[in-house]
Amino acid sequence: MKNVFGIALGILAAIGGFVDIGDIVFNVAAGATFGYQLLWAVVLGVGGIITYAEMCGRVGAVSKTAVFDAVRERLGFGVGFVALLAGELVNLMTLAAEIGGVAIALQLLSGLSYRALLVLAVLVLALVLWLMPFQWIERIFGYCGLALLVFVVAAFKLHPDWGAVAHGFVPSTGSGNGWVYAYFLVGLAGAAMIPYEVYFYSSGAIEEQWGPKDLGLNRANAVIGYSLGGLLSFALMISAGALLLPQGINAELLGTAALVAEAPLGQAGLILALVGILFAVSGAAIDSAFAGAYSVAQFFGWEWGKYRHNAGAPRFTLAWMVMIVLAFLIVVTGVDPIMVTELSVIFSVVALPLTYIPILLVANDRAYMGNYANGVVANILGVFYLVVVLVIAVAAIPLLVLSNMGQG
Amino acid sequence: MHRAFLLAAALLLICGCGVPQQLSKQAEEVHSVAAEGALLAHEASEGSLDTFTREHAKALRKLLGQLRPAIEDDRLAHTSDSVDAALANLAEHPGDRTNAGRLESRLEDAAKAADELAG
Repeated sequence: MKNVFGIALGILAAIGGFVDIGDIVFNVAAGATFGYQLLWAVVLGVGGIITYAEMCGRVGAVSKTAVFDAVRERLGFGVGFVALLAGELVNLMTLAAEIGGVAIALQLLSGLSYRALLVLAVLVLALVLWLMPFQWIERIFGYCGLALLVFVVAAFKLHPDWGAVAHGFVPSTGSGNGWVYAYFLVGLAGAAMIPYEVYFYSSGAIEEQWGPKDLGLNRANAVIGYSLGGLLSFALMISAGALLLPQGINAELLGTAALVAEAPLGQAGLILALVGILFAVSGAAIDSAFAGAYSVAQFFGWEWGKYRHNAGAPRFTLAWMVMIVLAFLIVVTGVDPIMVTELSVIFSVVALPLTYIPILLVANDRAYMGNYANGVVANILGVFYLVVVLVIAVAAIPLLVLSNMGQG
Repeated sequence: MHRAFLLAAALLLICGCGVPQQLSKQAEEVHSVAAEGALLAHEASEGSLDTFTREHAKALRKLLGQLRPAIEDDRLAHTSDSVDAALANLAEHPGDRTNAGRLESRLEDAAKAADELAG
């Protein structure tokens, strides 16, 4: 019973922790632009993150090898270093976007100045990272992020055309501007498969000292947690498709997502949406700061992990502090966090193959994994998603230009 | 890292930073802001959080402010100014429900006018 309870808690944290500012921005904008036509892109992305999160969680539990241990070992120092630089650039952009998102959510709730709230957000995030144990961080932000379930209720209350919704789960070439459609397809898949989630999940398996006995928990967290997390993405897109598209509203602001919950559910819906966004985006900021520190520490063989406490892993601690300071310096310039979000998602798509290839190689290595190496199903899915990732990685930058960042 | 930032900056320049130059695209953008403003005003008339109404109205004005210098068509410029004035009014009196109801109508009218220009 205790074990089932533990699994349920982990799944709840995974659901609440799935959505970040990239998911919110791309899902609401896709719904406002194409209605329900791109729901299948979320299925594609969620399938990818489930496949690779399960794989890297299993690798972490069995071989105690985290993603960037594998990157350096399998790709060599030179190519591995390029992968590290690409990963860190994307982590930094993601962290900057998330910190900007936290400040916007706080501004919508408090009315205080954006720059003052940026400072407050950074200080609070740094304190949380410094003081809280890993499991507390994961659970508190995950549970509070569950307030985003308000969008599931909103989606039902907005009475969408369920036939059209069902049709959206069937892959199609879409109607309207083809470049913009393809841009959103890449953005939605990329937002679901964003690399920091894999770095964080993999390192989390080692932080929580998983062993082979925890492989059931790993599978449940990855499959059920991310699937139900994907439900939040569906809800965001369906709500936006039902409310914003008919009125010709482009979703260009974070507050528009909150308005989508307020319209059918009133003030309670608005408050829950803003609180959910605040915690989901704060949790993602913490994850991406840690992911950046995990990557560099693992690559250079430093002591790492929250479980060692700050003084026990000083270079790891310094790494997440530097990440937060650099991200703050980016957003404090006044750059639009929503634009940084879109760019971070598109650039992360380009970096995805360098993350996924080493995971697939290690998960197949019987010298490391023994009987826990990939089976046929994991390999079929792994290769399928690797091809998907390679295709969207090549298409991402050209689509950014051709679609005018999704503006048409 | 430095090169990647330069690449990102170059891409943004190529993309034109998202400010449309064609009249129809500009009218669509004004329509979008007006329609969202009308929705915000509607929620304010029903009793929303004053802080949210004020801050979101300001954010919508900022979006419009980025577009406004690029608008050359007089009719669209007039509509855009009317949307901006209504949003400023909403941001100034977020808790006045009766006023919010009036602003909702004004913003709906502006959204229709912009829609006609979008063609």
